[in-house]
Amino acid sequence: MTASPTQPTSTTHQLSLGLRWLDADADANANANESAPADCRGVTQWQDFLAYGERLPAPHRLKLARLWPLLGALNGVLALSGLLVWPDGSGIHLLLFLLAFWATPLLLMLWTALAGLVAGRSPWWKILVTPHSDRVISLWFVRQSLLAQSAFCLAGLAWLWLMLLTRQVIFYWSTSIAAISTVVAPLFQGLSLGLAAVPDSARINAAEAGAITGWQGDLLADTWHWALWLSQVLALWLLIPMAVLLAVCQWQLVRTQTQWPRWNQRLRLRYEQCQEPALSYRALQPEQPLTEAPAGPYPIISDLPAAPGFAWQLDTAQLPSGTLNLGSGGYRDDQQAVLTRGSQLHNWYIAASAVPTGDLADLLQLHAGTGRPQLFLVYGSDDAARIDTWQYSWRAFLAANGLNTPVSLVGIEGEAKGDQAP
Amino acid sequence: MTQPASPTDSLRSQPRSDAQATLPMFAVVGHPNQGKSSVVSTLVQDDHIAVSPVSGTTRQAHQYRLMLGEDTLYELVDTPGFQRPRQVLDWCAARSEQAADRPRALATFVTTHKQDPRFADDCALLEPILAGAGIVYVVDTDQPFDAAFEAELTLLSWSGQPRLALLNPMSRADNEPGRHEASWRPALQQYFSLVRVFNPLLAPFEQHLTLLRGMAEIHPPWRESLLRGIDALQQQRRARHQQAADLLVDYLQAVLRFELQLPVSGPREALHNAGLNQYNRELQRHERQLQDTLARLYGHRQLDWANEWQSLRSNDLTDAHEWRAWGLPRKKLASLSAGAGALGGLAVDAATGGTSLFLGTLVGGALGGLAGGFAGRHPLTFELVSRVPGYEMWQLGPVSSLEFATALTGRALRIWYQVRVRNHARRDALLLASQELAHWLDGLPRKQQVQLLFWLRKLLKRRLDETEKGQLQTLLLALGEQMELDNESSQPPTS
Repeated sequence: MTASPTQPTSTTHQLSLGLRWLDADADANANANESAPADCRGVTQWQDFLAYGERLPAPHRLKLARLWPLLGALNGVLALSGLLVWPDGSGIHLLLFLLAFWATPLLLMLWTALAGLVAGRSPWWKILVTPHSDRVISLWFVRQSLLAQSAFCLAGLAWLWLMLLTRQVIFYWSTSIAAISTVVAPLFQGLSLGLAAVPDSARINAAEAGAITGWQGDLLADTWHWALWLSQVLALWLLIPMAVLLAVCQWQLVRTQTQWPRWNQRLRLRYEQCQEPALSYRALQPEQPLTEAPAGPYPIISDLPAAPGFAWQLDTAQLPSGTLNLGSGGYRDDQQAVLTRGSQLHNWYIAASAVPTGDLADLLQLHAGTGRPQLFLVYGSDDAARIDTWQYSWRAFLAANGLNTPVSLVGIEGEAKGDQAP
Repeated sequence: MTQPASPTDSLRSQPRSDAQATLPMFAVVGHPNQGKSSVVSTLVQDDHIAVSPVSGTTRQAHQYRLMLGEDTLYELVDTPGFQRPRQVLDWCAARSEQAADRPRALATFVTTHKQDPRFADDCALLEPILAGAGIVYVVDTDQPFDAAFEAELTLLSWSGQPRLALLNPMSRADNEPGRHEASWRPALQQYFSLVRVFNPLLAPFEQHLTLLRGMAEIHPPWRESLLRGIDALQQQRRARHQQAADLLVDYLQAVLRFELQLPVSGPREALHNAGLNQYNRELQRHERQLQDTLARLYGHRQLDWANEWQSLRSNDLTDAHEWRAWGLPRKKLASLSAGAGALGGLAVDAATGGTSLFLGTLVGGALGGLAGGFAGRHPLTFELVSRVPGYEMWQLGPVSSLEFATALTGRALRIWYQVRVRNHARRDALLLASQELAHWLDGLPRKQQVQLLFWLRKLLKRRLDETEKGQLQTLLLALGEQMELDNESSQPPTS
């Protein structure tokens, strides 16, 4: 494992790194860049895993998403500027201001809170940034939405106060809908929530366009009152609740982001694949290479020779009469038998399936000193399929023990019965 | 997963210190070619250990430690087979007048003959035992019991170390008892308090644990460490299954929702055929990736998928013949799909608080049945997605046929099954008998089939969200358990 990169600190940085990991998997998106995932083998901590995302291509669109609140602020300025010149350029229409800066953001805020924080859904514009979706990603986008909405209101208010400081601005309202005229006063008073600067009825009536002669000039006296009142409405209804929602959202985001793999199956997979398993087997010696054994088939004869010989792990009843059984008693007895009979008996009858060991090698060596041993490996008709493996084993055995004994295979009907210990 | 070795560690025949003595160590010993390395390979879940049907493949003792983090839980030593047990016995017998002398005689034998190439294997085998290792004696029950085996058992009993014996019927492809098991049992019971049947090639995971529990019983001071090892192995197994189910969910979503954009460059038919080839290659790439990842996850690093899987892969995956083999018969698909549709409709009924009078269930069932019964001949959607002159674009995919989706899922589940139940001692290629294919998904319980189709139908329509992925993962885990149960029930019990 190479040196670990620095751990991410901010939620946005963590999100960026997480998206890199998600994008790095070519399967996540057929159009994604098939970049190889960073070499993260052996990470044990989630933060370390995330940090390895630094080596993956950055999600470019995320940079734009980070600017989303800025877009909100710009919209706030544009909206207020629009209200200054529309509908007739004579001031700010209170009802339109409330529609643009109170009702719409309030609805959006409620929707964002319900859909984002309660139902766990992402804002519509998330799809413009990333195709991936989970609780963490959704919360980050909800936070950006809330920030953008707050920025919209704050920028609108700031622009309003800047306008007030630099030029004359009046606040008025007018409507051709009679029903609305009757509810304006209770609406304004209700919006004040009983706090300071509740506009009285006279002031509200005075703000109605054309209500008194020279109304525009008289209204200049109420400008600061209305500006203060509108700021209070926005603060009470939007800015404070948004601040609370932002705090809740941030808290949830931080909490879920520390357990991100729980919320995203693909990320969990990537993380788990990078982790060293807690349980492992450690080989204390290097792996043993497979040795190449000499190849080539032995000659096959169809009948057992008539001459007796030594039998090794084979039932002598199947063999020529006079055959001497070895391997069923002590090693010294076998040794003695080979020394005394080795000059007369040359054949060794052995089950091809028998596992050749050093005992047999020693006896063959001993026999080679006094006679001309020849091996007949006997196998039954049922065992024909395994004969290649046995030939391989016997060749390896003879080569390992430096034996040049000639070998033949003998196929017999039925089973080559092994000798049983008494 | 086996980690590389520290070359400074080596086997020594000196007795272990007190701290080391509480660490369980087992030497897996026996005659050559009895499956000792296979037993070790299966228990350490490593297919790098040299295993071969050729006798005498293991030439040196090899230690493997089960580590939990940096803690050693137990150690297994793979040893070469006995080569000259009768000569060793003769030598030791001549130097031990009474029983108390025997362990010392064994130690003297090893010291004296360590450099003698004739006795190199016997010394390598005896060394860990003299250093305090317990004995796991492995015998292939197709081999007849003879004097050499008797000498081996006698020598091992002289060591006085805790020991158990394993009857290994590994040369039996059908997993039946070995030819000479009846004669081996009474012989082994004279030397070992615990004798078990264990086929390292076929024994399911639960039997590995049973064996380890048996090893825990033969020497009380080692019990706790071995039981911790068993717990850790079980946890690792569970974690692997969960990760595998995650991978499968990911795979299914990737292949069933895969879309290929094709810029218009000729007649529609030619474009469709060219696109289909490319689509197939993509499906095959996904499948190969799944095979490799799952194999790695379960510690198989040298799997040979070439034979059976290659032949299927070289064919067109969207060929309807393939669907028949891997998926479900059309009639059954219709009936199950109706069930899955009804399941979806039931959710609608529940959402309306029953005011829909179960119309949702009825309609869902009917539509599901129709979708299953008349699953299109075309496995993939093929439509014009952009009509802008000069930028016309056709799109192949996602998968539209439930039958094809079932076939892809059947293949994926089969891959999982194979790496999941395969023991690490096996070196043969992954083979599938044709009758297995026909009954694979068909053999699952109906409830699980309906649930699976429910999710496949959903995947055909859209991508799953994280909660749904979790639910599908749970279903796949249940299917995995079912597969393993089927495998275990086909194995003979240990005794």
